[in-house]
Amino acid sequence: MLVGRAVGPGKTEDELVFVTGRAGEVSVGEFVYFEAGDSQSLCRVMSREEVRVYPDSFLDSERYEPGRIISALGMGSGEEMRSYRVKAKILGTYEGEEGEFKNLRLPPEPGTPVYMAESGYLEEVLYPSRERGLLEVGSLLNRCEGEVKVKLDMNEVVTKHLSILASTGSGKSYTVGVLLEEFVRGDNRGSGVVVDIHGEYDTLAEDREFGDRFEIYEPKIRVSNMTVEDYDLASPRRLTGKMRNRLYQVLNELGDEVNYGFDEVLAELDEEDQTESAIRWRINSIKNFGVFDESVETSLDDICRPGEFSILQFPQASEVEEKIALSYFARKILEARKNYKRVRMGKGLSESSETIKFPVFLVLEEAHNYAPANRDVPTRDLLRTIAREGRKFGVGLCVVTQRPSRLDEDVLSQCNSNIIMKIKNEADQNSIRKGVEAASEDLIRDLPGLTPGQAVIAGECLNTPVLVDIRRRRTEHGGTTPDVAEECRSAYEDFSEEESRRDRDVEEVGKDVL
Amino acid sequence: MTPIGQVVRVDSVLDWLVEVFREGDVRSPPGRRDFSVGTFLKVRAGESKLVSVVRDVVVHNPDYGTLRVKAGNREEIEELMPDLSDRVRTLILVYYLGTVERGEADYSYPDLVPRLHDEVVGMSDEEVKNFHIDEGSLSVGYLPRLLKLDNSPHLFSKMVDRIGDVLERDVGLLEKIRDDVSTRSKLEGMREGY
Repeated sequence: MLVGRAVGPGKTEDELVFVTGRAGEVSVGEFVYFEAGDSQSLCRVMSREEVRVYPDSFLDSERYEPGRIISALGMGSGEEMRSYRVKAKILGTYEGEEGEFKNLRLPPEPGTPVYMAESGYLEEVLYPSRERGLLEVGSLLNRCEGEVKVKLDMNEVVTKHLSILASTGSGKSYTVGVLLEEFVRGDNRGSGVVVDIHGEYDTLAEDREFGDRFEIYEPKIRVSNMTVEDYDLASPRRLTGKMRNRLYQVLNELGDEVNYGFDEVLAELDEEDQTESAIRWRINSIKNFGVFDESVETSLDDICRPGEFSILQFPQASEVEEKIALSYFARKILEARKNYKRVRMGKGLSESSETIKFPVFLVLEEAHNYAPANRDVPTRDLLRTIAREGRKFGVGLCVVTQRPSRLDEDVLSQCNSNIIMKIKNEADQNSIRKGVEAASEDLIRDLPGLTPGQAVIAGECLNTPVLVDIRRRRTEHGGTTPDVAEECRSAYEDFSEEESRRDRDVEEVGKDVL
Repeated sequence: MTPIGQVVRVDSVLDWLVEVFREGDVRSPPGRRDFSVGTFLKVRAGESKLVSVVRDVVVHNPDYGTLRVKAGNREEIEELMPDLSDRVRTLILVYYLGTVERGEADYSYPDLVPRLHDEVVGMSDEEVKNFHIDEGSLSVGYLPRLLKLDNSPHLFSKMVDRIGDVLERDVGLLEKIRDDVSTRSKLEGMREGY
């Protein structure tokens, strides 16, 4: 369908400027093309501005629509007044074999027809044409629901990491839910671990269709399995070199014992010695954490199963304990994948070394708490390491946050695929500008105007950034916002009933006494 | 319909001069109301009718005209040019609005011009109504061009009164357009320092 004609090349080699009267069809984020030699050069609409507009005085009538007035003046139906000058980014011609766009740098001549891109063509060029390893997260926002499906390349998502950035209530956890459904469905059968801070993903494990692919765990760390690194990560203050050496000796000495606890470690440390006393203080401050256990440990075999996702929940735990568990298990997963690679390369391993034979996707809610910007916390270094090295070993990271500006820049910049939803805060927008390579200015401009469930998806997981309407979940969403009024009213009714009952009891007792 | 007069000058395809019939020219000469400002008139041009509107009226009195000065006093004129002596002539200036061809109104720039001495007649209510309806809706498609010729809101205001008489259902929309034209004209006047 012809939608307009090119004014000519834009200011840059990858800009097309054209004029259209089809205001309804050519919206920001839409795809159009022009003929470039024998091929179609695909372009994404970035912005549009009116060329002709209704006179203001035609807009102030309550009774008559401006189009009616225009029509009475013999100037057509009013459609002619809605003429737009559109700027589009030239993506180029799609090279199917290479799976990418090539800008031929053939700017359109003035007057070149510009057409609306066909839905079928878009599905062909947005993502790789294969059945397996695709995550169908929604459809193009500018087209009818389901008309142009948007499928992310699972390989790219896992190996080059994903960020989901959105302000509260924009649909972050809903989107994570969709993504998890896609990971475990049909032929994909991906594996991973979700750090479920707010207990929002129970519904996945309870679902009739998907329930057998999700397992909920309250993770436990056996004290006797902890290394000096784990103590360092768990302690409220980092261990000095001297402390690390001494603790290393102690743990070595206790090494032969099975299932020892913190008391056994403390017994080895002298209160009078300054270094050992400092270690004791650190151990005492964590020894009562519920995440530690003398005999039980959540094994890697449990939380990393082929074709399944584990949901780690912490109903009784503090934020510190969550961090400890995250760093403990994330580090073990990375190590196990490294070990597996060593095995595949024919290198030997010690008997106790664990391996995981399949890639693991680690989903981390409230990621800014674990990898904060401008604050040194032990989990940050670990997440930086996974973000940097995970690709080589098949450990994918999905960081989910509502405050991108508070997320460590290194971690964010290593996420080569991004799902960005409504974000109004300027600081957060700026950090996306800085940290998200695929986020062009026109996409960032769209962010405040998105409604819940709408997202910009950009990066390696797709061939070009798109505006997406996230699809409906097949499982129930567990992260709904509470109905404050209803919960307050219900609590008040319970409270009043309780008070009345107490008054009645007091009266009864009074009667008995009298 | 009442014959109004004849075309005596065509300044352009859009702007003509019509001399109003007097007693003796036709059986029933027009009254002053028949050619007041804002009145719609038509003139036949082959199969088509050219529709125009009266924009101004000029009454020419030979006693005060150049003829008198050149020819001398009234007695001399009566003696030398008896046909001119009593010619108090009424001239009307009209603007072309559109063409009606096979019952359809077309407000575009005209292909035809009237010939000199073509008879100009008034339009019935039905004709005025049909001229202002396009596909069932009110249409004053000539207005943008008319405003370029005459930016004064008064002419259009008079026309609105006339159209409103025959298209009552569209009076509101006509008034909206008239008010807009009026406001625009006043604002432009203010900008230019009256």
